[in-house]
Amino acid sequence: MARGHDSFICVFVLVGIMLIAAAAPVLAQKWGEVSSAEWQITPPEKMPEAPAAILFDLGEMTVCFDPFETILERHVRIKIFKKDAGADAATIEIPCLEKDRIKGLEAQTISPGGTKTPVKDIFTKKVDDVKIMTFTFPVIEDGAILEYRYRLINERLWELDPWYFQSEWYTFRSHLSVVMHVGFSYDVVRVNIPIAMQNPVIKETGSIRVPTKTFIWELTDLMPAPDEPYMAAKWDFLTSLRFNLVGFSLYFDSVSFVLTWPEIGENVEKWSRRFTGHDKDLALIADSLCAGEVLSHKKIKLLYTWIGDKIETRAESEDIDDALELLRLGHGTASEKNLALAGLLRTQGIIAHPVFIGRRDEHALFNPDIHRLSQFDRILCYVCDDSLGGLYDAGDELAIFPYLPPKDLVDLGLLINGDSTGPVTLQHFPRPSGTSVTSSLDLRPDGSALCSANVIIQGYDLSAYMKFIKDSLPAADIVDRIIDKSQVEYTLQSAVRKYEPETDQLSFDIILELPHLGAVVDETVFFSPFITEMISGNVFSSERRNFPIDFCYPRYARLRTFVRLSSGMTAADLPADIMEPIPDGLFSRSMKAAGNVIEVKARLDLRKSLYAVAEYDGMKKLFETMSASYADKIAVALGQR
Amino acid sequence: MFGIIRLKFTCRSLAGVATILLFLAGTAAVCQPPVSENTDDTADAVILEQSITYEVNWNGAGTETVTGKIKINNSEGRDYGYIAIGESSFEKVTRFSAAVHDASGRLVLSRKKDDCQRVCGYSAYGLYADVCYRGYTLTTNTYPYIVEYAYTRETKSSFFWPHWSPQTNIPVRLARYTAIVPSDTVFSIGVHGDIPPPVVGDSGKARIYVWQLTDIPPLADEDYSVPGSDDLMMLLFSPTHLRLGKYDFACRDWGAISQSYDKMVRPILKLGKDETALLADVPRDISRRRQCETLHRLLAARMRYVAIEIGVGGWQPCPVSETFQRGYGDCKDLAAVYAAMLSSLGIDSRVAYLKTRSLGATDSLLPVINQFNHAITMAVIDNDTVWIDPTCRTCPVGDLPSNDEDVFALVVDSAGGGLVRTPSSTALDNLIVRKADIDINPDKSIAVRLELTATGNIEHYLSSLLTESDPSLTKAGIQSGLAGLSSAFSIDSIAVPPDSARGPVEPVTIYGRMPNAIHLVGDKQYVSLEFISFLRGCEKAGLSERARPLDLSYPRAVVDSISLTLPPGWQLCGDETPIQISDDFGRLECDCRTVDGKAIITRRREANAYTIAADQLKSYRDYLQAVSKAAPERIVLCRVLR
Repeated sequence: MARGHDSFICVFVLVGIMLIAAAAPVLAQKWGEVSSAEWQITPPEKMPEAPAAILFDLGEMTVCFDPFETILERHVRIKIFKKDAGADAATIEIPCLEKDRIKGLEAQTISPGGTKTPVKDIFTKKVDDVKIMTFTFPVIEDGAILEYRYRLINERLWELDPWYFQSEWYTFRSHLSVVMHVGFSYDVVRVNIPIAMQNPVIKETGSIRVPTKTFIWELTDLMPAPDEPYMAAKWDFLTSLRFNLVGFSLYFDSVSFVLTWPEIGENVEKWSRRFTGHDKDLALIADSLCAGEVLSHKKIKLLYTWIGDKIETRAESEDIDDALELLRLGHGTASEKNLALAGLLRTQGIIAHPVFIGRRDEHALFNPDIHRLSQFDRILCYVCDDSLGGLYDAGDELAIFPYLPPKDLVDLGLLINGDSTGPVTLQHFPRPSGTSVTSSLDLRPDGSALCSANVIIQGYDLSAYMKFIKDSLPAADIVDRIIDKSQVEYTLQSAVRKYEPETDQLSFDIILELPHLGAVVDETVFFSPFITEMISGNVFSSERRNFPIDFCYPRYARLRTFVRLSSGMTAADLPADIMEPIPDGLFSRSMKAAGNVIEVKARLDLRKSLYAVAEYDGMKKLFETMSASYADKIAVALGQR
Repeated sequence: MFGIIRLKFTCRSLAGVATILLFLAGTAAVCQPPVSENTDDTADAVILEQSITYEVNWNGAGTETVTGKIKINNSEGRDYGYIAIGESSFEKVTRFSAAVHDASGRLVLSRKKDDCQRVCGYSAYGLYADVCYRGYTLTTNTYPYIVEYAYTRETKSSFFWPHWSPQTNIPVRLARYTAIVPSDTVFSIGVHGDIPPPVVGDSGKARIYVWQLTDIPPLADEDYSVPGSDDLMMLLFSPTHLRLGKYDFACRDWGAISQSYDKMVRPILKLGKDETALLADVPRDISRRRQCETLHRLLAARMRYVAIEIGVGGWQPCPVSETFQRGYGDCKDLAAVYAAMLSSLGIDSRVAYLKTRSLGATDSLLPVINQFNHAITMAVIDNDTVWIDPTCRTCPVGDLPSNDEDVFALVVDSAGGGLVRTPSSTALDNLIVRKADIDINPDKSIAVRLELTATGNIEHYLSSLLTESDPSLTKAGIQSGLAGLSSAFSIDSIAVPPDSARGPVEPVTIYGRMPNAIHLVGDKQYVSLEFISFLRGCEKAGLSERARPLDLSYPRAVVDSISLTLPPGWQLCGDETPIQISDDFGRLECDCRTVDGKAIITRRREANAYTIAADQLKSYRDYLQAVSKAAPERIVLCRVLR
């Protein structure tokens, strides 16, 4: 991922910087006029199977200061190569906020014969204050051109709407020009843009009375960006531009909109102190909860547990004024709960600060050069304590004290500490994470078996099993979770659960009868030694991938089976061992027979949380090999051979 | 099992709003008594009480009042505290209140009508629907807690008379349904499942019908369940007359409903000049059947499925010329286009409404107008009934998709059409032929060349896979869904004939390999055929504990012809006696022989049923076990003795 930023100080004459644009003029594509070259365009060489593609996506964003608003004029043209597979490209959604205005929205289909059919029906869907204008193109056919254009007006000058060059369709050309009065200056963050294309073409535009500059970026031949499994925050990797207002100058006056982190920190701290005001009332609550406890690490745990368990976490804020109201209502957002936790801890003399983060797979990662709180979507509680100091998220149901939930495992955050506020590198408690299944199979000559298995789930893997820890779900339910009934028929005889917070492990002891584990053919039993898979299926089925692979945390998986053969049975043929290493990862499987016992071991190690796009082919092969290995059978002969 | 009660009534019924809404009647007390001990604590949640009252007004409008009380025992039951209520131009929520109390009876939260998230415009199947949902979150963090709710919704028409489905996935302690109807009205009731007759009272101006059930067990949560199966409890209501928008519907019998629909559909069937121009491309000197097929090809190229539901447009097709101009429409829009254009060719054709198999069987004894969720076209050609589903682009004329097979369709006709059964398919109509050539590799893997041909519903599925925009989805669908290939099978390439050449006889060819498919045991070699599955997922999924009927989708047949090149020094060994199994569930024939240095294994299976009833499950399991045992999954080779 290439990230960078520049600061465009437009009050200075851009000596030596101005580049005369050799690129196409802004929005030169005329509505309704399709060139013969466009008619002849076929699916791109890089993606010959593409059923549709965006021929161009042109945006002109004008930043106005009188009135203060931004106007985006957009014109998109799409070509359908195969109607059936490309029909989804003919349905368009334009999201915006309630107060935004969309004007001049029009769309039409142009058939290869030149007939133009306008879109007549445009609808608006709404979810609270978010609206989505939607329509579909009429009479699409192979070779048809679809185009639409609109003007979107909003007041989000502080952060202009990002421009995404990539979409879910192949894009031949994506072009953005940003026109603004020379008095404006913006920071620009470029995400995943090749270095050679990062700097815009700049043109002097406007008039003496209203001098403006136009900044032009254009990228071509962009691969689509569909959703993928184990995908980190999409917005971190989509080829895009983000703009943040730095300042404005007019004549001899200038205003800076950038606060330093300490300035931001002071404002936030005032607000968070107001939220956790009522110190005496909070102290009374904390005192009663801590019930005379003197050790700080125990107080931390008591207060964390109480906030986590007793206060419901809600996704949406209900404008709670302060921590006392939150405690009274019994619910709040995760961030509100963590602020309340910080307040309670401070009443006990424990230093605690809010830390802002952008969560791992839902929100863009924190860029410390951009001084905007909109980068963050969660407030954690940072505790300064010799024994249990660290980051806490009492608002997340997937968190187990003293660890964060997987989505909070980010490297950088913003620590709020008055005028010492600033970006901090976040360190997390080391936490081995993974799942082990050790089984013993007593195999009988008719192919049935008695299986006793010990399942140990450790570390961050526990997040997927919280209901077994917190809600006392029946232990028997674990069997449904780990065994696919359509592949392995079983009768559960017993299941016992044990949770050990000290070792960060949840374990199950299971006894199953497997009536049809093996198939008997001609005095030989064929069976698979594993009753469960490490990770089900091969999740990486796409031939190519555009995003890094994010597992959130390094992990392991271990399967170990001891197959005990009944008298008269011998191991006859075992599948070959497998070793599939990748950089920072490994899958291996081995089988050994000794006497009447066959020992089978399989191991998966993913030693880092994030794998680059370039590592996809290796990861895909590893998963394919692992998935295929579950089908391998052992042959056991009945009678001596 | 199905009982009909004819009563005087002038309202309509509505199926489709199936959300449990929690509501506290009247004003909520600040503090309720603690939770009763007399509740089921092992379930994730329990419906303690649920009551629906529908009062029919003199003018055909109605008032629906719902109250309920649910105990949420753990976080798995939390979803029962999320309530969504639909509103549209025909339905409006006029009152809502709810409260949550904890185990000690303390009030945790309360909600009024506007304390909700509003979601508008979203449709399950389409681009847009003019429906809004009010979503209420009634949850807390300490379990157990009680959610109580009440709401009132006014409906403009008895078309929206709610049906009653009291059974759900959690236990229900008490469920009640009350219908209050003016004394001089007539309506019918369809009863499914074990629901006792109502207690009937009289208020003078109105009659009051009350049904009540206690201690209803939860539905078993099983895969491949048959929707709307006989084991589900349901009450359906049908007035003999109702009004929807500006249209009057007589509902005394199916003929009357058909005529009423006809009045709604007929005005929109007029053709414009563009449609007429397209008809000029249909030759007149060919048979009617071929004219129908030509028109289907022309329309399939132009039209596509997009659903937009606005007002009465949820039930009335758009004018044909409008649909044609746009090049898209939903099922009834497209069915109307076909019916109008076929009629213009002189082919007798009509729109037909039906309930697809995925929603359960139509109650043919109860004329209920809003049972249907789909529309197709029926034509009569040479005294034969020919069906066309315009939403199935890959289905030839006369070949319906599986979801439309063997169901009742209401043919719309001014003379009063009735219910007609759509044709079912047989196993041999839905045939997949898999021809595999296998070579053994030195590393104990096998190289496979697999040719697939398919007919009927299986061919429809293949065609839909080939139109996926993402090739990896095509590959995954062919591998697991169509060919039944193991996930361990590695596909090297898939060759598909070009569209124009593809048809039932044109094969799709797959090249790939299966690792570790060979086992050497003594002087025998076992070649695994597990790369290609003989049983489907629905035939393996936990059948030993199953209680509810099993949905097999449709009858089908599979013919496997597997040819293994015998390695030098090896021969087929074992019993080559052909195997045959035949019973009501289907037939199996297996054969194994050597021909010209190859071991040829043939497996042929026909499965006749759409569904397996609950009382047949044991026999079916036995049948599948016999099939599994008989159909060879391994080829046994012995060394050639010299």
